[in-house]
Amino acid sequence: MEEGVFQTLGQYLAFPFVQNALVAGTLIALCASLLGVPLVLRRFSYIGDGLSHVAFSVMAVAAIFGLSNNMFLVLPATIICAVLLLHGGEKRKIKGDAAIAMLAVGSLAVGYLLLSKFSPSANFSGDVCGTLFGSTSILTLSKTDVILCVALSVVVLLAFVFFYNRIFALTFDETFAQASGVRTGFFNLLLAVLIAVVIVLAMNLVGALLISAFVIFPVLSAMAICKSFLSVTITSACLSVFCAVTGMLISILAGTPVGSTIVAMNIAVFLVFRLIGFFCAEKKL
Amino acid sequence: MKTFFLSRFVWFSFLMFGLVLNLDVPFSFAAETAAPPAAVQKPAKPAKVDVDLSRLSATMVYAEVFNILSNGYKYDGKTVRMRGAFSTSVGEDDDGQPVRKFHCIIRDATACCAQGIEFAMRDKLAWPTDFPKTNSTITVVGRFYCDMHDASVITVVDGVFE
Repeated sequence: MEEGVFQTLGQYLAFPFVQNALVAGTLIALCASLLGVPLVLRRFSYIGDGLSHVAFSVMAVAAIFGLSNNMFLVLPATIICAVLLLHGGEKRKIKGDAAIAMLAVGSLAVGYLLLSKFSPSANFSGDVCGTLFGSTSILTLSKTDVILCVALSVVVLLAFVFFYNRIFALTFDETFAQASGVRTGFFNLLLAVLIAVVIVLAMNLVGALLISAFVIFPVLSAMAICKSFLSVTITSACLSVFCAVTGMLISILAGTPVGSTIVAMNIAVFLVFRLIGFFCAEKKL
Repeated sequence: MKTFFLSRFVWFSFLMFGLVLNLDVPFSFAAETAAPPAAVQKPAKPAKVDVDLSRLSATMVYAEVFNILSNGYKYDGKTVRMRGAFSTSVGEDDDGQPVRKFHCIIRDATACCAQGIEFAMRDKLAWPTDFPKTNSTITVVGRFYCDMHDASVITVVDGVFE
C-alpha cells in the first residue's frame, strides 16, 4: 500500500504543472509567513481578507473586460488599497478593523454583482468558487504566472531580509523607531506594498476567502513555542512551507481542494504546537 | 548573518528560476513513451494510452484537463483515456446542419468547476440506443485532435467506450 502511494506520488511529481505548483506554492508560503509576523503583531491579521476581496473584485472587472493577464490590473489596485489601509496612520477618519471590514464586504459584493451580470464564461459559479476557495488555481498556472510569481516572491524575500531590522523596529514601537531616525512613513509604505503583493500571489494558492488563515496560522503556531522575533519568523516560515507542500501533495493524492487542504494542515500544526507550548510551560512551572 | 541568509536566498531563487524555465516538455503519464506528433495524422486505431486521465485523482485530472485545453497543440495525436460524466448537446457542422455532439465532463474536487472534452466515436453508433445515459460515468479511449488554426478547438476522435 505504501509503495503504491509513493509510486503514484512519484508519477504525479513528474507532471510539469505539479512541479510549477510546488515551486510557486513554496515561495508564496515563505513570503506569506514572513510578512504575517508583523501583520499579526500589529493587530492587522484580517487585512489579508480585505485585500483579497479587493483583488477578487478587480479580477472580476478584468474578466469582464477580457484581459488575458489580470495581474497587471489586480496588483496595482491591491497595492493602492493596502497603502490606504496601512499607511493612513492616525489621521484616518475610519480606522483599523472598520476600514478593513468595509473594504472586504464591499469589494466582494461588487465583484460578485459584476460577475453575475456580465459573466465572461458559461461556468460563472465555477469561476467564482475557484477564485474564492483556490481549489485548483495553483495547479493551473501558466508559465507567465509562475515566472511572475517567482520574481515577485524573490523581491519580497530580498526586501524582508534587507530591511529586517527596520521592520522589526516598526512592528514593536513605531514611535521609538521614528525617534531613532527610521523613516517610518517609507517603511510603512513598503510593508503595505509587500503585503499586497503577497496577498495577490497567495490567492492563487488558497483562494480569496482562506488567505487570512494562510497568513495567520503559521505565525500563531510559531509564537506558541518561540519567544524572540527572529525565532518566530524562522519557525513560522518553516511551518508555512511544510504545510503548503504537504497540503498540496495530500490534495493531489486524495483529490481534495488544494486551498482547504493547506489550511487544514495549518490548523493541525497549530493545534500540535499549542499542545507543545502548553506542556513546555507546565514543565517550567 | 544577513550575508549568509542573503546568499542562500539568491542561490535558492536562481534554483527556482532554473527549475521553472526548464519545464517545457509535456509529460506522458503512462510508462510507454509516445512519438511526438509533428502534424495532424490520419485517423488510426488507438493502441497504447499516452495520457491516462482515469488513473488520476480528482484534483489532478481537473488540472491536467485544464493543461490540455490550454496547450492543445502539445497533445495533438496522443492517445487518451478519460473518465467523467457523459453529456450531449446539439451543435452545427460546417454546413450549418444540426449535429449531435458528445462530451466527457470532468469536475474538480469541490464539484463546482467543470470542464468538458468533446469526443467523436470511431464506429457509427445510433443515438440514443447505443449510448449511455446522460450524466452516467463513462470511460472513453481515443486520440486527441487539435485544430492547428484554432488551438482552443480540441476533440478526441476515434473514441471507443470502455
